[in-house]
Amino acid sequence: MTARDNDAVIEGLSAELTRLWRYALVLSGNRDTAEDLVQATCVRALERSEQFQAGTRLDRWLISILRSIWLNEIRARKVRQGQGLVDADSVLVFDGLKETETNIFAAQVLREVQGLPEMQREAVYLVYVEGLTYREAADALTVPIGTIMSRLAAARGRLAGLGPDDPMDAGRSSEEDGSPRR
Amino acid sequence: MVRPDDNSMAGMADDDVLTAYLDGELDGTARAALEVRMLAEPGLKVRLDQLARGGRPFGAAYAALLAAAPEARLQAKLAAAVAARRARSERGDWRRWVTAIAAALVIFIAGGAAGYLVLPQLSPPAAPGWRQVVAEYQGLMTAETLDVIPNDPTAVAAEVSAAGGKLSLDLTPDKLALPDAALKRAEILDFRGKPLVQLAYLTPDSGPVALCIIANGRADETQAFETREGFNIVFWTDNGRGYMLIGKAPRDRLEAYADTLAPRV
Repeated sequence: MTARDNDAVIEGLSAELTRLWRYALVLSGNRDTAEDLVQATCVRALERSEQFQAGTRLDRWLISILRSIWLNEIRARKVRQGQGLVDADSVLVFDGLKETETNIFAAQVLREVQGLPEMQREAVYLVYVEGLTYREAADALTVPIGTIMSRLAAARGRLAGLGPDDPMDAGRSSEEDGSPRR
Repeated sequence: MVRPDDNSMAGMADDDVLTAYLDGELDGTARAALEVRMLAEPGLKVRLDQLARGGRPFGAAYAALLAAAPEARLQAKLAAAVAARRARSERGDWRRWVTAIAAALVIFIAGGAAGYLVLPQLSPPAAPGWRQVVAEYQGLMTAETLDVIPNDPTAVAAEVSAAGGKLSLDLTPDKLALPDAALKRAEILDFRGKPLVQLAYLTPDSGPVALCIIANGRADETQAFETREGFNIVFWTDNGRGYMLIGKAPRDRLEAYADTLAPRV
């Protein structure tokens, strides 16, 4: 910790911790894993704080670090250990919310989104919750913009209860593998 | 913003274009083109309405989740990461000193006896001790850090007992009780491989005060006082364990706390 540029990263981390935790929870579906993921993100961001470019958005930088740790380390380890990606009891993830009427409705939305396939869930989270534009989301997930559109369209279809048998759905290419389509 | 030439709209699935329309991600030309198509193809408008029903108040729903985040624990993890990083980087400074001394030695040998007078001034700074690292950690804590932790005597008792176990001490909230200071949390930390426990109190007038205990095997030392990083610190060593009470509270208050706690722990 040598330069004062670290101070900006530490301050930013401190301000973003709860949002990072929320993203980690959406990715992992597990509270303990989410905390570990945020901790690893803090360590990595501090190590690389000189790489953060002043004037760019710190939250987006932190999101990309967290996502990379999740994909390359924690998720990969879980898959190797045969633990699967999402814990079976991930519906319990949101039980910590206080039982107000608003929160009961919120928990229902959260469960619906958590029930989406992983890639759709992440696109929904980044665009509809974090407010990234399609372009920003495409950059964050390193996929073409068309893939973001397809994932969001598929997510909307599922949330609206539209079956895959719907004739309008026929002929669309599957985007679950995230393959580009231009 | 999606432009027609961006994605060869002709080849795009209708659902994708309709979703982009709903999300306000189509530019003017693409938007107008779709609206013209919808006039001619009623099925398209039906599909648009169906996809619109797949929307939810996502932002509001997830806002509730932010409030459920374990913020105090996350802040503590960040503080620990910052402290660990500082300690590592200062050790890095120490290595640079070693390199500098090695270089100085070469000059010394080459320069003969004249260098003999210079060398003793180049002693490396000591790596920061545990009290320094704890003081830096304490510096990241505010009254709010502790205030958000609900008063849960059962949880605190369990934490205190686990923390005591790490130090082979029988700790209980009763033994740790202080007048005018609520015991909020016990944390098990690690300082260079040695168990370090932090018992965090919140005082109404002076903010956080912490009792930190490290099993460091050092010889007994009587109670002493110092200031670091703007904190008052009362510290002593007893039976192979280092103790420090740290906070913004006045010196005499911390000394009184120390006198209360020392015989009990």
